Amino acid sequence: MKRIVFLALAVAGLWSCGGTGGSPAKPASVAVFVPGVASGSPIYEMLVSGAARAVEERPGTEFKVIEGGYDQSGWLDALKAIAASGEFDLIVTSNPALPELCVKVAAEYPEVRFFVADAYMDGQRAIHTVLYNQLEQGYLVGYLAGALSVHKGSNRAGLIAAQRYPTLDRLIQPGFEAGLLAADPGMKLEYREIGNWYDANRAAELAASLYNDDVEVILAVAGGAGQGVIAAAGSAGASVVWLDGAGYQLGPDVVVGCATLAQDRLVYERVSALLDGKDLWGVADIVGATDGYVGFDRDGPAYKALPESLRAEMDTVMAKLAEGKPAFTLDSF
Amino acid sequence: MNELCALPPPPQSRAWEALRRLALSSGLALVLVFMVSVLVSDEPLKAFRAFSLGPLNSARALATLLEAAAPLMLSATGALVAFKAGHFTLGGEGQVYAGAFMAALAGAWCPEGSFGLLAAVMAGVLGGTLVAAPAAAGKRWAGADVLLVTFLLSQAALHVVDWAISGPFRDAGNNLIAMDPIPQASLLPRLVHNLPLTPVPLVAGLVSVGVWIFLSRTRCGTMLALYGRNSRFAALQNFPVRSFEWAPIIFAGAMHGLAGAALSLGSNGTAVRGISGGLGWNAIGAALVAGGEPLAVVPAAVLFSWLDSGARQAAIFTELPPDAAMIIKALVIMAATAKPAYTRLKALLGGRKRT
Repeated sequence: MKRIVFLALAVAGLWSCGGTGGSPAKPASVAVFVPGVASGSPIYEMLVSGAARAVEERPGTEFKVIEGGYDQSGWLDALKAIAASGEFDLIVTSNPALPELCVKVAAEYPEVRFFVADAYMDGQRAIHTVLYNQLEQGYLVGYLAGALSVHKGSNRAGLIAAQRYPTLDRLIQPGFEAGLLAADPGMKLEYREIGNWYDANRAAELAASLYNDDVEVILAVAGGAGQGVIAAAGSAGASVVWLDGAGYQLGPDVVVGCATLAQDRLVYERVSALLDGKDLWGVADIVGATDGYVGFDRDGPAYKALPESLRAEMDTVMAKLAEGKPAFTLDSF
Repeated sequence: MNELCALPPPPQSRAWEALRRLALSSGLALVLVFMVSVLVSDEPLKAFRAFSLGPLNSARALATLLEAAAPLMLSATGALVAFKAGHFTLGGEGQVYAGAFMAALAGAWCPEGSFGLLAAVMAGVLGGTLVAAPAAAGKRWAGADVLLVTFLLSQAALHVVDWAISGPFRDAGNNLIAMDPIPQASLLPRLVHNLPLTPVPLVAGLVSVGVWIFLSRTRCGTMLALYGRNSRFAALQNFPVRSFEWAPIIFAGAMHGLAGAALSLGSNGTAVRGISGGLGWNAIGAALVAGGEPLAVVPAAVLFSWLDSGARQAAIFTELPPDAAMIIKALVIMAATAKPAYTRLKALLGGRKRT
């Protein structure tokens, strides 16, 4: 009995001397929820760095990064846990799938606010979202894929995706096809689907079959599985175009073009504004090339190795797109 | 007067033994949480406090904990009945997933409101039952190995439901891989405004009580438990062994399906790919920790839910990995079920000494 009493007292003592409980007074606290793993994912690395920069400029603001892993079914519970902790005023995240989950969490924890980049949902007072005009992103890599395919004597380009989702169906793929057709009206698109975001072997098989069938350039929208496309391109001596930047590091010899999103800048600007008290709640914005949030990375070694004429063509396309030509107007999503 | 006259009196309730086992499991879990905090975290006290108290720090957190434990109570009660009958079913995961899928399908398709909710719950039960049925039939008519057949069927069900959710039944307008949303009016109602608490914990508690009454206070339950211990003896006593060969497996399937329905009809609002999230496996663990006592399933499920929730809270504040709960749960299950092995080992060693 004495032992049990001692153990109970010891446990009570440990509980009381911790230090995370309660809600200490503080200016604000920000949790960055990464729906995946930040390391190795440029879009999430920029999410973290952008939010961190905004927080660093506001002394006293607390900041925590929480990774949710790849299992989508666990994201809702993870978000709830962050809200339930009672420690965070603002949850910052990035993924088109997140707004729906944030709405569910906001219904249970109305005091918590959410900023979701790379997503769109308007009219929810607890949530601010900003969507990139990925029609433009798709268009840029589509144009390069089309022009390079024609240069190599092919009239087909590939798109290998992890799965179907609205942003792919309504923005990336139509933009990519528009780019292909702008480069050459005779271009055709071959679409293949992996079924998940991690199976690089399956991605490599699909890519190899396309490369063996006279496809010269593939756009990979496949997360970690995209490594398989890069590997297959290396074996076939073919090319890959990439979204979201940093593709050049993954396959410097085969990734010939990377569209970019200025996610770090966007997250920095919006988190700063929200921490400064700007009322953006319920607002859903769309940003694009004309604002400088969608662009193209010219610094890849494989891109620099392309013929001068092709690169000059791309420079023209980028300059025109920044002027809104062609106009990929998106008022809502 | 018939063969039941030959039955021994109903066994004493093993509530005290189960309580002792649960208290030991909870104590062990706390010690393990502290050890993991010390070993893994730079701030062990902070991690320990977040782990142990985080899930209890507000009414909403407590309601979330109970709500998360409720499907586990249902699944574990189902598994426990099957185990009592001597059927070691490993099919829970697939049955939960099928239940979640069927419930989401019915919830989205049926007229919204109470009818839609009822239809979704029934469909969930049906989903779990359908996955369990071939194993029950195999046992009844072909003497199939329940352990192997339920496991294989569960794996097949996982793949089929995965395909269905991400393929033909996927909501094309959702960036998550999920089915069409169930209308709000067909979702489980909240018992208290602003608290994520539905009737599921209450239902799960009542099911546990019902199963306890059945197993410890009815002749049929007593016969079932005896059948589970010695099926030949039960056959010699003219117990309805033919029914005992399949009915507990079906009951377990139905309970797992009901748990799946609770997942879809709760805050998820539909079936998301991977929604079962190991619930079927956790149910086996909770049933083992409960030590065959239906009433003990409720605190065992709460203990597991607390570990999951606590690990998430600790991961928010410290460097503790969220998967720490899995390791602790595994060790608690091993410790809670070690007594028979210890007794057997002791008996073996004693026998050797005598010889």
